[in-house]
Amino acid sequence: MLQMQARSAVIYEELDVFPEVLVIGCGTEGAAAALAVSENQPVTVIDHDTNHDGLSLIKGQTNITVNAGVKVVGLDGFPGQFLVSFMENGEYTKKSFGAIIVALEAQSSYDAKKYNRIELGERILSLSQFIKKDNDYSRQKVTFVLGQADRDSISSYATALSQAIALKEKDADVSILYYDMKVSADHLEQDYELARARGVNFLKYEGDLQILKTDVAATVQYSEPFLEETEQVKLVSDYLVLPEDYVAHPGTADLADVLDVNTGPNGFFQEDNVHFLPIMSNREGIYFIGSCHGPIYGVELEKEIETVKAEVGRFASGKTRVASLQPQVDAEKCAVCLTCYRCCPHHAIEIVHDESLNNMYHSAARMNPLACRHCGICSAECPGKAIQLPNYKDGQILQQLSRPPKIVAFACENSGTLAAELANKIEPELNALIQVVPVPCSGKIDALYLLKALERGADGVLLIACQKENCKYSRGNVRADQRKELVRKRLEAIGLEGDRVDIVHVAANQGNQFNESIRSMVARVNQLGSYPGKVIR
Amino acid sequence: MIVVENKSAEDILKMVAPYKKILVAGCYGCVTVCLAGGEKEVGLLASQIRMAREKEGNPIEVLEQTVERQCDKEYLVNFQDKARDVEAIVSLACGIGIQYLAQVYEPIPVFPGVNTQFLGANLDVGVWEEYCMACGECVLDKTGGICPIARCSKSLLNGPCGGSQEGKCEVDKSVDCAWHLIYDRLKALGQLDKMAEYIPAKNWHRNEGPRKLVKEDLTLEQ
Amino acid sequence: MNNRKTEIKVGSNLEKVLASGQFCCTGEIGPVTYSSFDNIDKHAEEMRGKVDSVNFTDNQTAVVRLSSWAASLRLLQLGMEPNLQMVCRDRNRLAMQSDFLGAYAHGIRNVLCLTGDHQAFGNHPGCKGVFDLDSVQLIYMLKRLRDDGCFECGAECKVAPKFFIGCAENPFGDPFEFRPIRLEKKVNAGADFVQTQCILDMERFERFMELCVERGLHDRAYITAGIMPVKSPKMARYMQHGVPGMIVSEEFCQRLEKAEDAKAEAVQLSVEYINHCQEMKGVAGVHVMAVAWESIVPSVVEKAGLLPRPTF
Repeated sequence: MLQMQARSAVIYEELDVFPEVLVIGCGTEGAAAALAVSENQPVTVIDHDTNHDGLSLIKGQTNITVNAGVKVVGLDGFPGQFLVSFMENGEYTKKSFGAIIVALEAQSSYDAKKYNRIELGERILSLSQFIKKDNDYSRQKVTFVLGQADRDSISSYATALSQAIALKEKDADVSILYYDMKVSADHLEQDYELARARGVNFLKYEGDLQILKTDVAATVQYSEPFLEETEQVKLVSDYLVLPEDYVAHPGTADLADVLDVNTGPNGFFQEDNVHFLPIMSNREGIYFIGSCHGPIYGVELEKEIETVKAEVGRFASGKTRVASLQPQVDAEKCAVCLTCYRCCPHHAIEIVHDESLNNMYHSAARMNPLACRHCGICSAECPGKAIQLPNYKDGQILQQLSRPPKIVAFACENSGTLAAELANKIEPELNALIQVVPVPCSGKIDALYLLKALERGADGVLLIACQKENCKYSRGNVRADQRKELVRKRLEAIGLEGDRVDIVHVAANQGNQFNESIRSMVARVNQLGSYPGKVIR
Repeated sequence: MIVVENKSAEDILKMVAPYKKILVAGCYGCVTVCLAGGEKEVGLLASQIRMAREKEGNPIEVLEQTVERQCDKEYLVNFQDKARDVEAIVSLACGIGIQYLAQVYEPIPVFPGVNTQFLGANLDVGVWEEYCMACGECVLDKTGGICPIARCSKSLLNGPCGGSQEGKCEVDKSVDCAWHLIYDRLKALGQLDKMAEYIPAKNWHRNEGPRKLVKEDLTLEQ
Repeated sequence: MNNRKTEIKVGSNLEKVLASGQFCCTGEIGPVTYSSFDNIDKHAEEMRGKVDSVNFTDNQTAVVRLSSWAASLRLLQLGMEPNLQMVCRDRNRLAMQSDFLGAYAHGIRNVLCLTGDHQAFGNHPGCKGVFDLDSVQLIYMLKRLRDDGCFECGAECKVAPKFFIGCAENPFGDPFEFRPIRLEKKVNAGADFVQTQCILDMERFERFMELCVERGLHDRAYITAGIMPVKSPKMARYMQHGVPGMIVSEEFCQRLEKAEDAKAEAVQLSVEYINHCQEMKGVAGVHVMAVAWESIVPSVVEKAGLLPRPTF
């Protein structure tokens, strides 16, 4: 049975914000973002390095300031009111911005090892060389080789397709040699159909390629999987185009450190997290667009720019309205211990000093309404129980545990409660044995809730968290894991069974797994018998 | 900050075994900051004690309260309503708070819920390290701001012992050699000559019993 | 706090050998962990006439052993000269000075001042390490007793003990560049002679001695080199990885490993190292410490050509 709680009316507050947006990176991606955003609000673009490819697109544009030779070295404040420190000609400067867009472009890197160690040259070009080169390919035979480098992304496929279509218009003889044609992105299927219709040859290969180079031609030798009896095919072209790998901009790690945003696979910006939109970082007000978070192609980039434009657009007027849903701190209980400040995955907490704050420090933690994502991790970490998350106050949660059934499952609303609903539809009898207590994140499950559930009559307790490394709030489920261990130890310390407490990692659609976990917990507590530590029987 | 560690539940249960009604007393000072004696910990311990006693078939009533600081009597007074009502108190304050609480609420027995460890810095969430031993005679001016009394395993005053290797202490490879740190710091400060200075035998200040500090010009009654 | 060589301060045999400019040779016996002088009597006879003085370790590796001063006294009774080791771990300045008064009254003349291995290594790891003084302060306290006739507190000592004051230094500890400076602190504090940590990496020791000579320390104190015959390749490897503050060269380990007769090779290595030290500037002698292999000392000393020992 899933108990939904009554939500109190939401209070809104209006905050002053800086409309100006900082774009870090002056490549074509950063420039495109700046142009779009500048339609609504002022933009400053800094180059951060030597890539100025986008400079010509934005120079002289109204609403855009370009500041070359500048590096971000520090960041304070919150969304709407970021204070960015720059290093400019050996001197520190500071400026306020409402939001930050990171656009440090990935760099292409030709890896000869992926093409049987062939060196690039006159007739053998990397994809990026090919794009930049302004040759006349009419009546020339051009072949693109896909599937050797950049295996994880489809941007090379997209680029090769669009280039092939364009070449066809110039009357070139174009082939695309592929192992596995990837078209799983917007418009790519159409591009593929169009290329076929225009007469691009699509040739499939299998196994290793051999690339041979002569002065007059470039030849690729491959195994053809469809034709019987033909073992090796030699494809002779005037030009051979080889896609490269994309690697994260070399400044990524440093900038991530300064902005305190997370990086993910292969050192690109952003975690590998299903809960995140492509442009999202772990901090509100800081966005990633383009290849800074992995290879990307035109249509995707355009969509990202549209999204980020809308996101930062809420600061354009200099004022923004925000729901006061962030946790509230009882200053009398706040020991200013910094635990919440350090644990917050979103950098949403500051320590404020104010004579009216009623403790010996006249200070307390404060959650910024624009930066906070309302996960409640801070309130579960607080050693003084000074932090309460609206709608999920300790009192509200413990109130649900007045007469718990056999099993209490504290469930993350991003996965657990959804899985529980599904599970209930599949096996209602089984789910009648449990009580689901919704929490915004498994990181909100206080160790105290687990003990209280047992103390008040449950025989077993479950923490239902998102899949590992896929916490919407970065590390809530990791903390939940740690708390399970802590509570187990505490139970074992008083001679009670630690495995009455367990954690389950599920995705929202895993109703069956959810039921499996319930079944196994029910079996476990049936075997253990009624919990002997119940205080209210 | 004073850093403390929670005593085992087993130890605490033994202390409160004879009683039917107790108070678990927390402190919003250092012990809250070091995540061992704030309101949260009071709740966890109280719940643990109640459940353990239920299991034994010997229920106990456990009250919970946390005050600003247990090392000041003005705050200790806030316990009086509940203290009047219980047979014993378990304090989660540092050794100072525990003693002061016992003194103020005599003859109610007061038991320690924590082991007071050291004076340390909070390096990260859940990580503390001893930085000071309150020796009463600071030498940090001579040692580049790194205390050899607290941070050298042997509290040496004239440089590292022979067991220091590759920056680590002979006692444990995970422990930095304080004197190696001092050497590196003084080198960075351009003060290596201080390493050659003889630091004489220390007055350990233990010769007058427990230390007491009275600032005559600040006391109220002259 | 300047020490001058050649001038006799105490008159122990060890001091006389060193002051006469001859290459000294000292031995070492580790007292046992039970109440008996058997091993001392045995090894003393083996070393008689082969070494100038014999060290007695003070609860070595923080394991309770027969006390250093009692062992020293036994050696005196056998007509040989002891070198009383004292560590800062087990005694405060009160106990140390009282032991010195007694040791001197019994006729003990040489003292080696050490910090001491941390108690955590030993068989009473929970005991309170004293470290009231550090080794430099201990040296200074002994020097003031001897030269100024006063206790550490400044009060007069009517018949003050006059010891030939020794210290250790570990060329293999870090920070390496600080090691000669630390030795200089000890010499400034009053050390008359130095026994280094055992040398199992000659190259590093050579660099250490160069720095000491640069500072003129060899002119102000007698620096003697620690020599350790290592019984087995296994032991050498253990010391290479498992003993803090020790560096054992790869060459040293491999020579023991490749040798048909490791024990003979161990003696040969010690002899080579001793002979090498005889050629080195600033080295005034050797201290042969054969831990748990005391009986090999005479043969090492003889093969190194250090016999006969001078008499006065």
